[in-house]
Order: sequence, then C-alpha cells, then structure tokens
Amino acid sequence: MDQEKKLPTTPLANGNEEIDPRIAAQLLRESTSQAKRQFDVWPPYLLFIGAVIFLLAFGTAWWSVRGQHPYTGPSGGALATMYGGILVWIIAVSMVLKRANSGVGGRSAQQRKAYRSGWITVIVAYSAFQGALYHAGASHAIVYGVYPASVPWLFAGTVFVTIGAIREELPALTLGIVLIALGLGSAFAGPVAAWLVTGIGLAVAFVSFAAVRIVQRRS
Amino acid sequence: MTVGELNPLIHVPARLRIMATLSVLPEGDTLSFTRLQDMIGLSSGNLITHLRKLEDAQYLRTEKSGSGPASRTEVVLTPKGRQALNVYKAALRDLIGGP
Repeated sequence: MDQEKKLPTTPLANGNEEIDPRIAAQLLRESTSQAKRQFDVWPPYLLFIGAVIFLLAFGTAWWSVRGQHPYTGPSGGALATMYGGILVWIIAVSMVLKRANSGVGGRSAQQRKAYRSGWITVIVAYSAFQGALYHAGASHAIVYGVYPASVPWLFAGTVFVTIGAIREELPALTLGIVLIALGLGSAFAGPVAAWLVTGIGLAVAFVSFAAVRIVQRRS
Repeated sequence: MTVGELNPLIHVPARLRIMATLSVLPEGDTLSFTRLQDMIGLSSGNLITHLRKLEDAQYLRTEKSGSGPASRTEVVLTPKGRQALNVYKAALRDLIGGP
C-alpha cells in the first residue's frame, strides 16, 4: 500500500527512477488507459450527446408530420431543426476525431482517407436516389417519409457491416447489423412513425454503444 | 522470477509509459514526437534520450520527414517492441501474482 503511494502523480523529472514491480504494473495500467482515452474516437460522452441530438432531431420531424392526411412531409422548421442537429453532431464528431487522431499517422491515416471518400459517396448516392424517386413520381410518403427516415441507416449499416467484416471488428459489425435492423424497422413503420422509430432506435443504439465503451474502458 | 529479470530497457517509468502509449495504437501506426511528448510529459531532451535507447534495441523506429522548422518526427513501435512489452507484462504478472 505504501509502495503504491510512491507512484508519481506529476510528470517525471527524467523517467530514470527505479520502480517497484507493483508500481510498474500500476503505471502500465494507467498509461495504457490514459492513451486509450486520448486516442478514443468514440468517447461515451459523444455517444450520449448523439443520443440526445438524434432523438430530438427525428422527434421534431415526427411531431411535424403526425396526423398529416395526406402525408406531405416534415415542415421547413422541422427539417431545419433536424438537419441543424445533424450538422452539430457532425461538427462534434469531426472535432473529436481531429483531436484523437492528432499526430497519428501510418495505416490508420490512410484508412481514414478511404473511409471519408466512402462516406461522401454514400451521402451523394443517398441524395441522388431521393431525387430519382421524386423524378419517377414516387409519393410524398416515400420521398419525404419512408426514404429519408429509413434508408440512411441501411446505407450506414451496410458500410459498418463491411468495415466490421473486413477488419474483423465485432463492435462495427454489430453496429452495422443494428443500423440495418433499425432502417428496416422504421421502413415498415410507415412514413409517419418511421421518424419516431428512427429517433428512439438511434438513441437506444447510441446509449447502448456508450455503455459498451464504458465497460471496455474499465476492463 | 525476480525484479532483476524484468527487461531493464522497459522497466523504467518513462520508457514504460512510452511503450504502453505506443502499444495502444494499431500495428503499423505512427505517432508524432510532439503528440507523444504531450502525452508523456517529458522534456524534449529526455524523451529523445529514452527513444534512442528503445530504438537501439529495435523496440521502436523513428522516421523523420521534411527539413527545418517543418520537419516532423514519427515514432512507431516495432513488432519486436510489441513482443518485448508483452513478455514484460507477463513477467510482471508472474512477479506480483496479478491477473
């Protein structure tokens, strides 16, 4: 116990001190967990913020379409709130990514560039396909309801499943499957309920993911 | 197993922290000298001294790019370094009877 108290809490003078094995083990644990926290691109607080933002964003869209007969889609204000929330989320994620990846190069940096290109392609394809549906005369319920509330998660889920399978990462694979299930579930819920199902589903997914990250950090 | 049998290159606070920090990154990833210095909290001179010792043992590699004020030094843990850290961890566990 006394030995543990000797663990330096301030930066080491030159790092050449002799250390007891117990203190070495503690230092190893602390350094590893500190590094994991600093390199973490999905810190739990970011996931909790995401849960709140997506619940509010999609909840607002649902609030504006409930009771619509015929269905016309979310109001301009609801869309502004929803896309504003999503934009805030994207900015928050970008800031965390930038800080966590600062100074990190090599293979992961190359992978990040490839992922960025992939995500941009997915977003462009999603928007173009919505335009194609409108052009083909699909109803408002599809173009401004089922499609925007459900299909992004099918796209995102497919990306995560692919990443998880290639990198043999169970969390990414699981997240992908959850997103695909969410996309399908909200599609079956219809144009009005799809917004609510997506908002609640994403909030639950984010909170669950945050809980997993907290457990992983403690292990 | 005795304390003397622990790898003396790693069994030093600063080098232990350097190795632990670099081991968290996926294999093949590099870390800039400045970020490593921020994370470890050592002066440049001290950090260079410790990095050189670990580099001499081929536990890590440093790669310098550019020149002048724009020069950048990257540090990467080698497979040999990763293995040495794993052996050190196992030896520590044996010694203190931890999990």
